[in-house]
Amino acid sequence: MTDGAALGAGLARGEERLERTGRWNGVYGLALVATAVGILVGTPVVILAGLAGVGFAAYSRFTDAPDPALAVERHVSDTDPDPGDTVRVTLTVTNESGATLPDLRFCDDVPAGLEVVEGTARHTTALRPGKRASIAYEFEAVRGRHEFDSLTVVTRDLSGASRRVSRQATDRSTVVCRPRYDERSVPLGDLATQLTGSRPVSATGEGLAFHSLREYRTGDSLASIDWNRFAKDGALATRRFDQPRTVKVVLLVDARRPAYVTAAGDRRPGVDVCAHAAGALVGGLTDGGCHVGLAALSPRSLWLPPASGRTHRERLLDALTTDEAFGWRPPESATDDGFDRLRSQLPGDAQVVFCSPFVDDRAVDVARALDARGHDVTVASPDVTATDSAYRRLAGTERRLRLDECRRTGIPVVEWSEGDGGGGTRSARPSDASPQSDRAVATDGGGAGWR
Amino acid sequence: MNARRALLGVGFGAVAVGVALTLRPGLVRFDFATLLTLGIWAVALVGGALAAFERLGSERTTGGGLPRAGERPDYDVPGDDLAAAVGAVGVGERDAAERDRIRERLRDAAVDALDRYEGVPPAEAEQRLVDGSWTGDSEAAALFTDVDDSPHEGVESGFDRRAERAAAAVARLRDGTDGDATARRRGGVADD
Repeated sequence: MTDGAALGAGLARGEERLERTGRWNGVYGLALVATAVGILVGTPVVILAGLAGVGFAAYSRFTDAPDPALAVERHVSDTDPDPGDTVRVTLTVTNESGATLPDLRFCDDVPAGLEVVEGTARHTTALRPGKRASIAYEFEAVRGRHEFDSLTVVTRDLSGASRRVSRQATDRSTVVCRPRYDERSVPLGDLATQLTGSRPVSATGEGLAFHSLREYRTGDSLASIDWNRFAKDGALATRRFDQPRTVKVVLLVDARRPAYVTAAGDRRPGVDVCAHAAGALVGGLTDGGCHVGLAALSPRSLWLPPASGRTHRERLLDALTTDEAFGWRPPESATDDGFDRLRSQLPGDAQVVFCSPFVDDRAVDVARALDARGHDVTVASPDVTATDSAYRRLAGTERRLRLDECRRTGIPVVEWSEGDGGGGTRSARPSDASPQSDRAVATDGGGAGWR
Repeated sequence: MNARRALLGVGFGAVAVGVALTLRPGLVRFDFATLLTLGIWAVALVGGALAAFERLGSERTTGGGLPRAGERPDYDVPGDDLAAAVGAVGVGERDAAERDRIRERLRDAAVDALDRYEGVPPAEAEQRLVDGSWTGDSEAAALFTDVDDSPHEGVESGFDRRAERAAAAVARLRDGTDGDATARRRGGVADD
């Protein structure tokens, strides 16, 4: 990430700008004073000294930093690393401008999220025509598609009075780091489609497994009447059977700017943790026979409607890995979250699993709005708060209170933790659930798989 | 820019004086002017050297203005926004609105925490905040009780310390370690 005051900040790929450095501000005045004093005392040496200053000022005024013509070669040692692997980048810059570059500084535009762990991606040198300069550095691979496609270059003239800053386009090198997602599930609600499927829900119909008896109603099929009961007490009763249905689940990942927070020392944003949680749920829910979709709560739109099948599952995981909505750089807008757009996309019969760190009240508003719209909503929330200061502990408490507010309104909450082996549906202890909710909810001190 | 213009003005003034003295030679008879010239150049050289040292020093830390490369964005830790807001707010009347905004956030958190962890209804929790009995920490309690106690209207000294103590007290409600509140829950007496 470039800091705000850095050269090249705000330049698009291929753009350049020429700037005056202001290094020799004041030289004009000093030169004129020296000249005047020289005239005053009538000493040629002093006059010459003044004129030298005037000459230098004129030079710095009328010369510009050279426009570099550079050939850039970049070699990346591994374009498909696993998370945590170290990847080496070698960058060679050749001066093809036909003139010496007295002050050349360049910096590889390392994509956001990648941390250099060995060497440096910056270099300063003077480069004669035809000569080359090389740098090498290593970074640690993390989830995402990382594009190396530009180089920030700064040249200065000999006096340093002007500089030319550019983001030079280079050949594209793409590194894709795909994590291995766990396969986990969460307790779902009963909202289902009208389509027959494999997911047991509360609906009854034409299935095979016995569900219950109810009083006979005109129009019920004769085949569904419980004749044994009729023979026993003369009352007509209709047998009902479980009707497995197709369940649509949309995984909604909180990728708003406020979700780009991290626990102290972690340097891994909540959005990345939520993307991993959603990736684990893709596996668990598709294995459970659900049609799974994916959406980002973010100004950077992402919408994959619910579907099933191996290809669709790969598409979901690929989006979680590489889509810009879940990138390492926060979105520019802190207010727009694309929720209105999302509401128009969500099918009415879809359940929603909302993956969010719940670090602000907007997350509660979103969960409650979806619940009020008739979707069965489940919250899966990783904890990215810290405890090493009073304000950070307060933020952790506020997060807990927000989750409790969801529970009070009947929205099940799963506190998501990683690194406990993964795989399979975790048991969830139904404690601390709101009275309105009869669904299993994992909370503080819940099942071993949940935190 | 102002320094540059000032120096330019000095330069033009000096030239004018020089031209005048050229037209009236002998106005200055001693060698003071030569010494002045040397002095000006000495000052210029020293200034240039200092600028060069500063430039060299800054290059070591910022890479000559090049972007930071290969570093992850500096993500905030939840709660740091409030810490920064408290740190930036002043004690004077001008910042009273900002202090009230921070106080409201802490008040909401305290009421919710009392409701959730102590079973205190919101109305009663509000009353406890007003009378300061919601916590055993008098500094934390003072954030909500001593708002208008300052002898100077709109001035509130010690706000940052009280806000931090209040934040800690709210967090302790969740942990169940706030002495006064715990004692009330047990029907006993606070031990701190």
